[in-house]
Amino acid sequence: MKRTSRIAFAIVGIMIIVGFSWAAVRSLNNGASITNSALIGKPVPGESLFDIETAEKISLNSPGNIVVINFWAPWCAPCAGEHRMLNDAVARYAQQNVRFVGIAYQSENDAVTRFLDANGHAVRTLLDPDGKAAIDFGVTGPPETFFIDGSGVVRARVAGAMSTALLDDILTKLANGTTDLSKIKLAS
Amino acid sequence: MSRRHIIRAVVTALLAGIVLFGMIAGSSGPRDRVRAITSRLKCPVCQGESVADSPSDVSRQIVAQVQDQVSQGRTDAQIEQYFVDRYGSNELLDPPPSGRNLVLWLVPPLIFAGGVLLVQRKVTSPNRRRLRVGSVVALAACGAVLLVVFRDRSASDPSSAATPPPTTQQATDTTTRDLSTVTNDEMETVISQNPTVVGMRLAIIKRYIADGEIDKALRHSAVAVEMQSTPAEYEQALQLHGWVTFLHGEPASGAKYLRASLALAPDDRDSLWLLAQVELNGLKDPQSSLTVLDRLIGEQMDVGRRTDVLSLLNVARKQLGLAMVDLTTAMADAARSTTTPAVSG
Amino acid sequence: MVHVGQAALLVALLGAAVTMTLGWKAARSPASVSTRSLRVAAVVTFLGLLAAVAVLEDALIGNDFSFRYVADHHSSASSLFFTVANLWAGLEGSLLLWSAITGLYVLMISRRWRREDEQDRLAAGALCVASVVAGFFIAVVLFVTPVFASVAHPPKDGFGANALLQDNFLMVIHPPLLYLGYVGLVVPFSFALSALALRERGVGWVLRTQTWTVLAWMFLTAGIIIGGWWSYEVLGWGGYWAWDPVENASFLPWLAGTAFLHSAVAHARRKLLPAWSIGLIITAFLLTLLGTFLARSGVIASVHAFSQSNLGPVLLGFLIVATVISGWLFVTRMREVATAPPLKTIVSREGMFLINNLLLATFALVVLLGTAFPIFVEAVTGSQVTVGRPFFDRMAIPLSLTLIVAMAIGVVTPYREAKPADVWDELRLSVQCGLATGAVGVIFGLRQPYVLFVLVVVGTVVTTAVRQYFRAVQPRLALGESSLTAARNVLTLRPGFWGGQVAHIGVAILALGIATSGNMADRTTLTFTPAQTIHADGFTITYVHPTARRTPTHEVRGALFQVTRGDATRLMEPTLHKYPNQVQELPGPSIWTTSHGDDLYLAIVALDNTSATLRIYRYPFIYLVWIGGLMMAGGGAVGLLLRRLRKRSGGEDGFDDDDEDGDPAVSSAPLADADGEIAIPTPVGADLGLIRAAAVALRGFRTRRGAELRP
Repeated sequence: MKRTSRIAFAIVGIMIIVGFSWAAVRSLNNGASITNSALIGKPVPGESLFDIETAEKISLNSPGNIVVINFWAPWCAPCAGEHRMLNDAVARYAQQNVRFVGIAYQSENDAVTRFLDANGHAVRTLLDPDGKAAIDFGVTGPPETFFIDGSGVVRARVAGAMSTALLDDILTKLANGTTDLSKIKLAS
Repeated sequence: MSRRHIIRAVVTALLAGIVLFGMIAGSSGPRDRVRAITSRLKCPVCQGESVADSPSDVSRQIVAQVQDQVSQGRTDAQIEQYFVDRYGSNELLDPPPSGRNLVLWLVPPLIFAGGVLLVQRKVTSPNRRRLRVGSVVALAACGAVLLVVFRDRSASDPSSAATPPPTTQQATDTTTRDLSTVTNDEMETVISQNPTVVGMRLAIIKRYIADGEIDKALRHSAVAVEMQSTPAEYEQALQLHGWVTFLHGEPASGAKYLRASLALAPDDRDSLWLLAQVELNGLKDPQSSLTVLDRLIGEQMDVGRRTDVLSLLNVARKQLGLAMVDLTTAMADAARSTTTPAVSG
Repeated sequence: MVHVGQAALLVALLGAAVTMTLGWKAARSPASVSTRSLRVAAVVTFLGLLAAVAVLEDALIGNDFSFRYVADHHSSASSLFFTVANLWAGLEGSLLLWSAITGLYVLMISRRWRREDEQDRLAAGALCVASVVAGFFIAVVLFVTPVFASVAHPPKDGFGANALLQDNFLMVIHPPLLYLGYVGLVVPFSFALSALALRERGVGWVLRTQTWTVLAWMFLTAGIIIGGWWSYEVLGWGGYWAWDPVENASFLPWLAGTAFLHSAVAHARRKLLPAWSIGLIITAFLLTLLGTFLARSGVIASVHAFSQSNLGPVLLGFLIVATVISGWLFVTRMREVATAPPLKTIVSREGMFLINNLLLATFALVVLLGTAFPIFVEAVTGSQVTVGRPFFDRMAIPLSLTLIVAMAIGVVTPYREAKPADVWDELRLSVQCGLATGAVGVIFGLRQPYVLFVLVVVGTVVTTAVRQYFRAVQPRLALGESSLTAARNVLTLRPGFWGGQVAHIGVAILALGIATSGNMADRTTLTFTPAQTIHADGFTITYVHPTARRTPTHEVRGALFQVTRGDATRLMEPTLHKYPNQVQELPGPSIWTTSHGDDLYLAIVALDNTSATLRIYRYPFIYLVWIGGLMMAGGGAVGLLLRRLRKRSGGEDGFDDDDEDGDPAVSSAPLADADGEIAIPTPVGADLGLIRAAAVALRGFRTRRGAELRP
């Protein structure tokens, strides 16, 4: 090999190695973000859904209220604990403009009922039997939670079960009028 | 040249001709748009699998959505955008050739070109000219392939695709399938040019209903029910016209047309469902509505529709002072047909 | 017992360290190290690993759930066969197997060290390199992802292996084959690196590692093909290759390895393309490490990927160190080590090898680009992007088609220099036969461009191979040799060439299978109610009834269908499997390979009491993919076998004769008549010759097997 091409080879090689290592390390350390969704900053999607208990059609858009939309399924293990946590939160946030909505994702109704009997009925539960709402929200798998601010805009999405601390953190920020929640990190 | 040479050349040419004929004859087949689109979408709950390949529930629902949108005449790009808006840009298995994704398109030919140059430098032939010609040919071929692929991709896009064939047996309204025009206005133009084609009219009626433009829908549906058409089209025209007249504020007329439609196709669940709503909400006749709903509830339907039907049924029963049907038990009885759970993340 | 395993691994680690040190010393001055000590160190390394494997197997078979690995990946319900295979069902165990195989290769290299030569610094250096690799992986299973860890409160029973990996023979043999292939590349890599480090010129390292290269390539090919077959039989999505990152990770070393296999021939025979050979084998091995990193670090998500662990940074570190060292050696030493005679023209066998290398290297870089692109985009912009099948197909199709055309031409191109017209003369009859094959296809109604193209290539490649054989046999028959002796002599004279021919035919058949199953498939999704009959894709399908049963390990729901086409009727039962440790039901497709040559593939989408929704796929000739793929691997086996036969009959060691006249079959002009046509000998005798040659080869293999392994 000629000297120049050798140097060129070495430089390109070093660049590739450094670049790849940097990218790989970043990917390895990439914690999930709560603003990682195509919906962030967009109006809440979806049509109205049926409430499982009253058979009413409920709209997910509730002007003036912060809406927490939790997609869950009876066959999803982490959903149970999270659902109990959300049920407690309903009482804690009763005095504030926060509404909690659970959407049963691709589930048989009797299984949904059993799940609710076991984990509490406080969260309003809507049915999404054909998965249309899940597609509208870009849900990849339960549990997944979306936060809608008072103006009906999606501000955060949490994939996986939430901790109480994370929920409170997001709701506090939203109540204060913060719109950019990208600073909030998922607790490890 | 000897006779033998000539015969041999002719035979070779003949054989090559036959093969070439077969290749050309086969290269312009119909295209299955739904499959083409869904194989470019990533199944959101799987890794790397396309929606077309994945057996998961979400994928099936997405396929159904794509089917719907294709029959509504939306373009490939619009449908892809629909899912990108919801699932994000990584929903596309084939990143569009723009911005940073151009790397994916430009680097492979650059690699190849670099290789060709390397080979060229490696060869120490005295006959450099031929070698250079060879390299240029190789690079040109590479460029040509790239160009074809590029064109292929853009051609796979919107309405340029001729008549997309029906995709699966579930698709019901074959009439709208070839209407891939984009806007309602364009569709209007086409209809005014082809006033006798019922299918287009039915399609635009549905669009106007969806858009809430009842007056415009009524203008077309009134024409559609008077037109020469196949029994299936006529049945659908009656059904749509019935619904449109109801939405327009004439429930009696609406019920009349819906019943006429039902007379043609007694099992049409759409007609039953619409009629039940017209009778309950329009004619304020919960008893008749209940009769229709009882008929409807015996039919097979998916869980979403069944939930709708059951809640309407309860409203009617409530108005009649009857006991409400317990929604959950009714669903549990009937809706075992719901699917098994899909993948969890 | 956990401690016994740890101790065994510790011994192996020590052994590897000693081997490395002694190898280093021996590479500097062979006289300072005794053969015995070096070999003992290598044996200790291997025995330590063997003992560790034995301890884990013992724990698996004995249901000792105090081992964390056993508790996590085994359940007492597994049959003995799958219990043994649970060794590689989990991350730690599979890494242990990986280390053990590396240890085996270290042992093999150590037995090749010839201290008596006083000059064999090459093998000593290779041993040093290989034991560094072995030591790294031993350290990983010992410290990073400890395979021998205990559970404080052992459970009564474990969860069992991932359900997908259970109950299928293909999945049991897929990982070991793949590892044998992956790790096998360590031998030529070590020798190449050693040659660079020691500034050893010449073809020594290539010649000495050719067997290993072929062996590793063979295992890798078989492993990949069987993986695809498993995917088709089990995963229920109806395909065999998804361009999934982990699949790509196994494909990348294969591409580089295949390129190396070819340039190694040019290198060994003509001292040509030395830089390519060294560069390619280094690349192949680094890609193996990269693949391991991608598959096991959690840097990319994939169906096959093992779960996330702290393994990622460690593997990345090793990958970087290996890349830097071998890259530095390559750049600084290349000029001293690789001096090649000039390449006069591209129209020559060596030129075709170069084109092969160029195409395969481009292929590998493109696959690498597609696989790594999402990682880069996510690192740079934070946003996610997916690169999937459409991208890979678009790039792979033109490259593969060019490759198989080059393959058809390359075989008949003579070494040194050829005129294009001469090459065409060689190829003409084959191409005519190929075109005739295609024309027959067209007459029978075939209209698929890709399929026809590949069909023409298949015809050409097969005809070429058969012609080459007849040409080589003909003069021997004329000299009065019996067809048996002639076959034997012809085949054993050039084991590598004939093995290559078998593999090339395999490639063509594989390409045909990919083209037919990909372009002529029918796909439908239908919903059946019991007793309903639907006609689809030429089949009459009746839903008989749903089924349900329970096996020792899981529950099975299914749907029984009666399927008829023509006179043939089959009962098919696609199923859904519910494992206790799995949320989701797993599909169990039902496949009928009909006498028409197509597969009917039924997989359940949804199943309840009232209806069954079914995906119905019809794939024409998809079995050609498995046949072609295994034939490729078989080509490697044929080469090795013929070579053994040749050595037994007192021939020289090596894959090909290195006589200056090049291929006897190609440049034996006197064989051709005035028109360049060959006079074809009586086909019956020739056919018998082939069969007898195969019989001889088999017998030779059988008698050899009992003999010692050492060459």
